[in-house]
Amino acid sequence: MSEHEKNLELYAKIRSNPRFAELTASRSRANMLLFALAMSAYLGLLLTVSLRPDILSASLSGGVATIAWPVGAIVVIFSWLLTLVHLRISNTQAETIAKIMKEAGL
Amino acid sequence: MSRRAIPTIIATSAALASGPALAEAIAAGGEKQPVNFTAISIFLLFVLATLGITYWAAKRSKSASDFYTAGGGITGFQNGLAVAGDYMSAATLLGITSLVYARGFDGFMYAIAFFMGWPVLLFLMADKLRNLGRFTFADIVSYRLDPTPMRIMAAVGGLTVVFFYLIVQMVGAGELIQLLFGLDYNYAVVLVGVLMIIYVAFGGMIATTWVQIIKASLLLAGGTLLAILAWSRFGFSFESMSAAAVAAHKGGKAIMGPGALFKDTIGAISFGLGATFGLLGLPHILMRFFTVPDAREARKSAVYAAGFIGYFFILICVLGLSAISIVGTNPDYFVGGKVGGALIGGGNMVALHLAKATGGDLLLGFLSAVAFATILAVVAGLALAGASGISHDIYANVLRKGQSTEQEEIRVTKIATVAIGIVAIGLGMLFKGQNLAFLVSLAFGIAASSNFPVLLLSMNWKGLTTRGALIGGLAGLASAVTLVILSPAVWTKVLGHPAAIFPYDNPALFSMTTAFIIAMIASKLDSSARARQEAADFEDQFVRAQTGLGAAAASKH
Repeated sequence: MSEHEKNLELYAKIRSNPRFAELTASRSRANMLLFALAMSAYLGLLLTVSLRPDILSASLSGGVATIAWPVGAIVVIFSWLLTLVHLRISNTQAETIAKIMKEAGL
Repeated sequence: MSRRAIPTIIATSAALASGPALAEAIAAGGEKQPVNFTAISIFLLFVLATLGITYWAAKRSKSASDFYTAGGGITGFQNGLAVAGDYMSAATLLGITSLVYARGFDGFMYAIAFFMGWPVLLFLMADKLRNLGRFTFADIVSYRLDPTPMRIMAAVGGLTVVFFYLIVQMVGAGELIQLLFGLDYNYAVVLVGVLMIIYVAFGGMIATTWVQIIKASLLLAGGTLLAILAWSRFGFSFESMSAAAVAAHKGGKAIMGPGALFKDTIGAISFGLGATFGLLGLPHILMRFFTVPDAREARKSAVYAAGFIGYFFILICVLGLSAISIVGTNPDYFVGGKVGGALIGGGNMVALHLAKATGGDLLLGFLSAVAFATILAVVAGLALAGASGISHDIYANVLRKGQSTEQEEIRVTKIATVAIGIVAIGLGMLFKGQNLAFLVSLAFGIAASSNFPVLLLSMNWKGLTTRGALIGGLAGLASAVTLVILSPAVWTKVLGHPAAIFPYDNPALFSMTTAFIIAMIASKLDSSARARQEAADFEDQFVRAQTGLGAAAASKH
């Protein structure tokens, strides 16, 4: 049996494991949620810049510095923190995947 | 030297901005700089070190996998640095600093747009890329779809992006090196082309990766030092730095908030989407995700890369904002000593003048050398991505139907690298002094509208068929090219018509949407037996994408 055929057999086994369906569904939910959070933060900023620039031109601490800069930096930092969340979720999921693969006879 | 020359450097990063802002941002006053010995010494050191690495890498590059993906043995941290290096070009450092210097907060918004692709890349595809791909992103789109047409389309989409990018980088390199080192334009272009060929043809991905890692570290270190020196002038107070900037800038308080660049909402969204999703279709970036051993390291690389790039972009904005008062009020940096007139060396020189102002000739020399190193590393990455498209996709899989030996494939890669290098040198000379801003719009437009939709759908949507992918990908390509031609960047600025037919500089909102919709409709309408088989094959592809089972493993050294 070729390597490829062996893999096809394993794929079928893994697919038939109900926990695999569960895992991939929760994985794609997490990905979509993180994607939506990052894009809403960014598009929210972009739309505010475009439609209500006055909001962002408000003074930061009574001087000429505006809140626009820290808000921009927060969007960058927030999106990056989401990548850390993603890393943590994926590492937990990787353990489940390893178990599922073991059950399939790997 | 041509007055239009400087914008080409900034163009790489700046072209996606909407409106006439850039012309103003880059009031050119280009003249050749005196020979800078610190810069030349540091640069020579970099070249010697990287040639040493290339020699070492050449001995380790035996298999096709070594050549294309460094044997899959790069760690997540190393790859994070390397892929960030691929993205942080000289245009980023010089262009965005200048944009903030000229436009204030709008320049920061510009930088943020180019950051957002990184988290999105992680959430949507980083681990699946690694699990499904081997050498090129065409491997993924041809996984269950008809390989010959899919590979041809992916290779053409990839090569187009690579060549547009290369032209802009080569022209920018020639101009920049002429300015910084006092070297003639044509010599500079030849020098960059030849070094690029040596790195890639001999050292493959191993050498290219290490060149990129060294350069990214230098760039991050140099940028950090410069930002600290500049900000220390204001006692590390954001308010004092802002107050000084407002006092020095002719725009006054307005530069601290949103300005004209993003006023048009549709244009702003189209720009933002193009910058974000364009990243997910850049072949030289995607290729880096095949250099790590597994999906876990692929995810790590994206997290590190996003961290480095986010940090660097925020840093650059400190540079731009501080330069408004430090450089903008010092007659030494203006042509004829006229403050507010043209900057010496052109509008793109802000970061370098800031280095001179805060760290003297030594820091100026260091930063100039880093800028040169950056150009070299970026063109090397592009050349390798282009060469692998030609050898792995077109030669090995389309022409030889996978029957060629590894040695034949590697030989074709090397020949392709030399050919790409020579073509890049030729195009660099041919396009000297041209306004190339539209090429970057085109590169990002095609990446976001053709490469990205097909790649994303092929990995995630069971219903995608070969017919749908081809029609959708071509529709995205055609609409991106057409809209850029009808846009102000080409229709009015290059072709000289009075008004543009398509009012936005960035097509992504329209062309990317077109590609997705047409690919989905064409797939739904495809009721061939092949389409049913492709949907069935998705199941196995899905398991592999999720588990990495059957994915190309790392080779041991």
